[in-house]
Amino acid sequence: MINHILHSSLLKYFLKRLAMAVLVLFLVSVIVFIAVRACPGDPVLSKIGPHGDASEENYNRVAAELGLDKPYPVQYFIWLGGFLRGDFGVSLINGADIRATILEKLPVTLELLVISMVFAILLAIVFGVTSAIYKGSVYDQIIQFISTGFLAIPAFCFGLIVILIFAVDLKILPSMGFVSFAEDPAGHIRHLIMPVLVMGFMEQAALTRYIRSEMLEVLSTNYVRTAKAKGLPTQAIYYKHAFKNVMVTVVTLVGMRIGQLIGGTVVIEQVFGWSGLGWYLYTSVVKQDYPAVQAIVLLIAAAMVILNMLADVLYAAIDPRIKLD
Amino acid sequence: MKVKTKKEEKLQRKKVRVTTVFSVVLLAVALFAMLFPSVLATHDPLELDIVNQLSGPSREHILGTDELGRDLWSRVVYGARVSMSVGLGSALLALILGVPLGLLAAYKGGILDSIIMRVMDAFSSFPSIMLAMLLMTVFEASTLTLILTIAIVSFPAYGRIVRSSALSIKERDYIEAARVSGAKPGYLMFHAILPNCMSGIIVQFSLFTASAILIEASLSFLGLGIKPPDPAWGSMLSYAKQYIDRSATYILVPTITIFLVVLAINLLGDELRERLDPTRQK
Repeated sequence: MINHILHSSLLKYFLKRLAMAVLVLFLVSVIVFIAVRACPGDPVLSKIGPHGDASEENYNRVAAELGLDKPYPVQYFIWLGGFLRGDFGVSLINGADIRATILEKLPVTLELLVISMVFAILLAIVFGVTSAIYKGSVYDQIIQFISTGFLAIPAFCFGLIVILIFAVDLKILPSMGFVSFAEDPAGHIRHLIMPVLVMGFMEQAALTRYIRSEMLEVLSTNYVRTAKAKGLPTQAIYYKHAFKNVMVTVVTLVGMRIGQLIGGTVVIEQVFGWSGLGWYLYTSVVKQDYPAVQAIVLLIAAAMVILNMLADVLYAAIDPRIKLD
Repeated sequence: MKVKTKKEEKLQRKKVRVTTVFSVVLLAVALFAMLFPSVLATHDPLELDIVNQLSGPSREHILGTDELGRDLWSRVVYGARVSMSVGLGSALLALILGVPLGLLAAYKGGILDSIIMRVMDAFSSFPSIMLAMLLMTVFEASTLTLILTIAIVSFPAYGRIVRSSALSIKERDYIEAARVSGAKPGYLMFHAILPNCMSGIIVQFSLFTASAILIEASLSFLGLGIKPPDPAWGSMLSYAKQYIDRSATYILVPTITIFLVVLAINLLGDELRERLDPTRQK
């Protein structure tokens, strides 16, 4: 493994992917910067407020204070420089430090994200492997039917149906809201169940399909056939030989899918009133709090670029058959 | 001799499946609703009926009513005008943006390829709903801006698919032969390489239409789509959510509509993939 990593072609591949990632990150930051500058509304006027002094003198003063009097390229580099130093600016709405708010909301979203992802992976492994082993059986058909169904429904629709069942009809779970774990641990978990259920089942659909097809491919390889011919017990073949290989795919898939899952939290947090980063982004968009929108979107896109790069490199490191080009 | 081969061909052709019939019929209805909503609707979608608020299905309102007593069936039918046209329109626009870029990247290679690919990478670095939200704050919400936004979100995926299939086709002998005999780059790209990528493009078109409908629904659920009172499936649900404990039909009607339409498109896409791609077997 160590030898393989030190192998020069892999190192070269890593450096190449790193250079690509930096370039992509630069383009991403330009897109975010342009999009936010193109937004309707004048940030200077909204800073002054509807009842403030909008005279030309005061307008120019506030514009200079916000750094908006400089040409766009200069504004861009000042903003980017600030961002790289971890200075995300302050909210246009209430003057709160954006970094502090993000740091407060991030763990809330990460908790939801990580638990849902683990739940989705477990479901997908059980479904995908079962459906591949019993290919063509009733189980396979039911599982395929379920995953096809989940691919055809928006997450928020499924969320509303889950609320309808568990909160409105059965009245066993609170329909929405967020309680911090420190305040009320049991309440916190009760509020967490439905969003996790929804995100887990939604994400499971795509993962199950990948795992099923990967497992089918592995099961048709020569070494699995050899193991069968040797007379190894079927269970051992499935779990020791086939499944190990499928795990490589799972690792990569998680890296690839995590971004879409983060996107999914925006809608899910809105449905369940879970006050995390997605909720913060949504309220910032609605209130036209551009510095906050800018910071959240760029942060998440950056996380995605880096995670994708790591997934690619990890995949190449684990599986020597991957062509490094 | 000729008759026999035709017969064999007929035998080899796959049977039409129930799911395909279901998808085609359902999509035909949805397209009809998009084009001629007034024929299918039983009421004006904006007509208020204060006496029948949040009612269940009845003879007057076959699928019940919303919080203002508006007929849900008619609203879902008129909602197709936005949801279906945004789905189809943005998949088409993404194709118009993505296909030439993918072809160009594959054909020219080198630095141009790298530039095109990195720009596409940048656009696909955002979770799709997040980029769509960002763009919808820039544009004023309308059918056209929704189409543009969702097309921008999904064109990189198109470009990448076209590029990768064009790359393998580019190396084939008949392309080389056409090049040597003096064919111009434009001819090579659009008349020699593109037709051979078509089957993949058609399959992707169906998948993108489905995902575009899902994105539009999410955007209008978040209040970033078409403004009320005009109905769209997603925005109906954001109002239905407020009355979730008073009317289940209000939630179920738009949800089932979206589900059936997207399911039909996906099933049709699977069917197309199997028919158009001879290497993929069930």
